[in-house]
Amino acid sequence: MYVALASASTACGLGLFADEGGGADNLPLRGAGPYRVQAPDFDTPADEPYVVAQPIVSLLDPAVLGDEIQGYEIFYTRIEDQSSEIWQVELPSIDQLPSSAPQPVLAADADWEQGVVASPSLFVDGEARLLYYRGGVDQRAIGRARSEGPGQPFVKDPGNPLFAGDDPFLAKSGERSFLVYCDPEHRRIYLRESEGDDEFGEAQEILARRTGSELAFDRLAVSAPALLITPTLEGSLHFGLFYAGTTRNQADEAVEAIGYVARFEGESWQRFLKGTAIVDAGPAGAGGPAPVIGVSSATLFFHQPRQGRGRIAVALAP
Amino acid sequence: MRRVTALAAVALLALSGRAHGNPLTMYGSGARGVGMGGAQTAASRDSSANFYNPALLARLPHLEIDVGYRLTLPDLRLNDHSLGVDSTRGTRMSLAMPGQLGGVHLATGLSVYLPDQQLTRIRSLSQEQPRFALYDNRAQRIFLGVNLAVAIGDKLSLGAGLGYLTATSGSVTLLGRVGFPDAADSDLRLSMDVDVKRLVYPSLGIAYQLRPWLRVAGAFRGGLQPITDLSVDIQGDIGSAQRDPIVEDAAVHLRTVSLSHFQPAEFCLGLEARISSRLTLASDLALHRWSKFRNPAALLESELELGEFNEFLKVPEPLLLAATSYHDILIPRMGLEWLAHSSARRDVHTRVGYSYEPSPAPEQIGVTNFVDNDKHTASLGAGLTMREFGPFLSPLSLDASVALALLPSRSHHKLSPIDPIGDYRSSGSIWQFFMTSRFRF
Repeated sequence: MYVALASASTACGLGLFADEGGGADNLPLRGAGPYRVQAPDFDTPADEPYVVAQPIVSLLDPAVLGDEIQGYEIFYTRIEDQSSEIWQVELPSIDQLPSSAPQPVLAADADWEQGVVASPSLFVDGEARLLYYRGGVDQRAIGRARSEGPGQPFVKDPGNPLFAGDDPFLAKSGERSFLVYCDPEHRRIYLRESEGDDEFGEAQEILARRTGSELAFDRLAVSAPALLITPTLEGSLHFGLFYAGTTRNQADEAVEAIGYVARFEGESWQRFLKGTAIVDAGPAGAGGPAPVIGVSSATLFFHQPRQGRGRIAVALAP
Repeated sequence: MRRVTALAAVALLALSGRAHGNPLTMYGSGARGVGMGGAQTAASRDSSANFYNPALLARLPHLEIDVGYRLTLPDLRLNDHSLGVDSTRGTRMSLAMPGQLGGVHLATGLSVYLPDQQLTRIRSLSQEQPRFALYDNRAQRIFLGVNLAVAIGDKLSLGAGLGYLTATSGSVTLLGRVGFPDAADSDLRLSMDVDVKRLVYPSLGIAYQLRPWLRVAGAFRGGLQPITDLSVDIQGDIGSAQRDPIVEDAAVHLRTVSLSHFQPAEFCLGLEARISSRLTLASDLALHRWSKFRNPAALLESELELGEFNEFLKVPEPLLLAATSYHDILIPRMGLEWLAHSSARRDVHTRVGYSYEPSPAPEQIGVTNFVDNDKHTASLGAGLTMREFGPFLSPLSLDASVALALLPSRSHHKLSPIDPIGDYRSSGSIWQFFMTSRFRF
């Protein structure tokens, strides 16, 4: 017999006109979650929770521009055989099919990339777009490219690679740039800061895999950081970090899950939900988080393996 | 000058105001009272005394019936985005019947408020969900009050009454077979047992005619926090009619308990000063005991006995309900009434009022988001009394008022960086419209 007490929402009314009860529109939220995976809806053309999936190829590490009103631009790693490229597709809404055919955005053509570009992170700077990505296989490193506007080609920075690492993500607050990434072995996540876009400072370790905890979802690896920076009402900065952790399930298979840590600037990081995953994505797990925070709801894009290949899925909060 | 000095002294000492906690106490009762900022503990001169101060019923010269309508349009915002808090509207009726019994001047009164949308509304959200806690449920419920007043001599009046609210408890039981895998194959017998219980709180009033031009008064209204207790039980086998059950004697029990419609105890003192033959000043100060307000979030109790299916179900972890840490508040109210026109056939009054209601809610820095703001309310009103309106309805009064409550922006800074809501600002405004017709016999 299970017995529990929990917080719940209940509502009922008896009335002449029985209007729907209001008072819950536009609720603020920080986007930490927890998230629920989009449920299948047979009245929509989409294959919920998957929003982007393609035959044969594997899609990983989504990076998302846009919002629920304008629609989304989803950049992702496209893996086919040994080829890894960055592609893009447009999605009107999470319950619709993509409105455009997938387009290649960036391909590996530099020696250091070793035939691989992956893990895109997009930042919009006026009309221009900054793309940070990972290249290389044996020696994974971070590079960047710039596009002067939507539809314009991305031109790689001649200074590539910037430094060793994987899964870069760029966030800005005013003139300050913050680049988070993980080490090539996915043991730790680091943060580098810059007053502009070019010269990043020393790396600060901000998160490590929890090897000492058998139950931790990030016992084996941490990866795919996504940083949200928001000013508090007092004028300081709040840092919210989504990331993927890896552990092994009962079948000894590696499985990913998504977690969230946060801090106020100058203070220590704290784990949300006591360090458990913020998305219950089932046995297949979830990785490569890409959050989009709206006025009153948050949309979390992520990748999930299914039938041997990655697909882009979505979860919502609240 | 002497009159003004005495008035100022009494005003400083006065502790009064209207009560707060049901639809009438939130927005006032009657267009005249609202037009005067709700400062009616000593100044009510019609059957709205049923609500403001039952002692004043004893000073009414005629049998009165009031029928009025109220419309409230809140625009309450977080981070400048509207939450879509419901507008509320409803009909108010009140009756005052003065008379003599054994040489004693007595009066009885009755007051009813019927909301248009919901007769009662019970909604208990999780404690984390931001909401304007004072405007979620309280404005939407039926209210009934009965009162008795007695005049002692020419100066003293006493009144007492009972206010009636409701609390809901009950259960829904389903017995039989739950179809699996085809739910349509279920064979369940339904029984419901729901009680809408009566809750009673006392109201007391006293009024004293200190000078021919000055009346002081006090009122008390009891506080309460109704409990809503609802449960659902499903008992029976799980399976199809053609086969042995997959689970025999399965049971699901869900019970939710929540506190809603909190009404703080209210202590009110007030005065009414007839400064001139045309000008009347009313002032109130009220103490509202919001410190007794407990967390209204619902507790869910669940018991599952589903055999081998138990392991597939996640039962929520028990959660602790945080303290609300609301505090008591003092509310000053002020109103003026000006006799703008008086003739043998009609009187015309104009009214203006103001009240300041500090928020009882602390800044929401933790897990709860029971939001509230200070409120500055300004009101305007007018009344027309026709002395001769026919052989049976004489005289007739028509009153109207409009009030605007402004909620200045307030910031809520979260202490924890992993708070899922984060910092926000609350602000808003509430328009209130009242109309009342009064028949005297």
